[in-house]
Amino acid sequence: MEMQNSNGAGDAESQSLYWLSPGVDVPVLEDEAEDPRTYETIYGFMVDVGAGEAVFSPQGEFMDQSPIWRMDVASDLLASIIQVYEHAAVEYLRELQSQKKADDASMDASVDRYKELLKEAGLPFSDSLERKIRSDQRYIEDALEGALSNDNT
Amino acid sequence: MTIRDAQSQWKIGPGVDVPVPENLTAVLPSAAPLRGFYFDSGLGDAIFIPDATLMELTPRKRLGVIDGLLASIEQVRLHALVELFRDFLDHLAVKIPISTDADAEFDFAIRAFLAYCADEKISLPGEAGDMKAILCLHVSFNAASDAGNLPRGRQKGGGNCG
Repeated sequence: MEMQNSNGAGDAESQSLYWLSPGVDVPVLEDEAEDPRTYETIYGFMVDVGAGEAVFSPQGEFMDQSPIWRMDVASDLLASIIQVYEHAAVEYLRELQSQKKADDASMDASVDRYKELLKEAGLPFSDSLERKIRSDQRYIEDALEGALSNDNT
Repeated sequence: MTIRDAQSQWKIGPGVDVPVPENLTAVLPSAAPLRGFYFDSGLGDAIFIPDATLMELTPRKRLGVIDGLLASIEQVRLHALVELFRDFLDHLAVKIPISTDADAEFDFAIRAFLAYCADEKISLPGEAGDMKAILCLHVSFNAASDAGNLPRGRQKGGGNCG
C-alpha cells in the first residue's frame, strides 16, 4: 500500500475528485484501485454535520500503543488533516469570490482580507495556506487568460 | 467543541488529557462516526482520506469541522509527548525536586529529552518554548503529587519554570 500525503502538483495519478489546482487537493491513495477498507481503521472520530463540529476521542486500542507510536500516528494524521483544511480554505475563498460581481482588489489585498476573515472566525491561517491560495489564484488567472486568448483567436 | 469537566482514564495532569466522549451526545446530539482515518502497520504510516460525508459540506462548514479535528489531534499528540517525557525521566531516573535549586537538573533533563527526540526523529508539536512550559508544568504537578505536600492544581517550583 502506498499512501500519499503530499498533493504534488501535476501528478495526475494521485489526484482526487476534489482536486482544485496544482498542489491543492485532499490526500488520496497512490493506487486508487486499492481498497482503503483493507487498512486498519482508526476509530474514535465523531462529527456533527449540523453543528459543523468534530472531535477525536481515542479508544483503548489507540491509547494502548506506545507514546512514540501515538505521536507518529498523530503527526501523520495532522499532516493529512491540514491538507484537507487548506483545500477547504482555498475552496471557501473561491466561493466568496464567485459571489462578488466584480472585485478589482489586488491579490495581496484579497489575501489580507481573507486572512482577517478567517482569524475573526477563530480559524488558522498559515504561511502554507497563503502559498496555496496565491498558487490557486494564479492558476485561475492563467486559466482565464488562456480562455480569453482562445476566444480572440 | 469543548467538553469540560470530563476527564479520561488516561489523564496525566492538568491540561494533559485526551478528548473524552462523555457528554458527547449532549454537546453534539447528531454526532456520528467520521470515517477515513487509516493506519498501515507495515509502513507505520497513518492518513486521513476524507469521504463524501465531509467533502459534501460547504467549504465554510468543513473548515469548522476540520478545525475541531486539528485541536483534538494536537491534544492527543501533546498527551503522548508528556507521557513520553515521563517515561524518559523514569528511564534516566531523573528526579526533579520542588526547589529552585532544581534549575540545572531540569534544564539537563529537557536538553537530554530534546536530543533524544532529535535522534529518534520525533517531531515535536509547537514551539520549543511552549513545549518546555508544558513539560515543566507536568513535572511540577508530578513532583508535588509524589511529595504529597502540595494540593493538586496549586503547585509551584519544579525547576526552571519561570
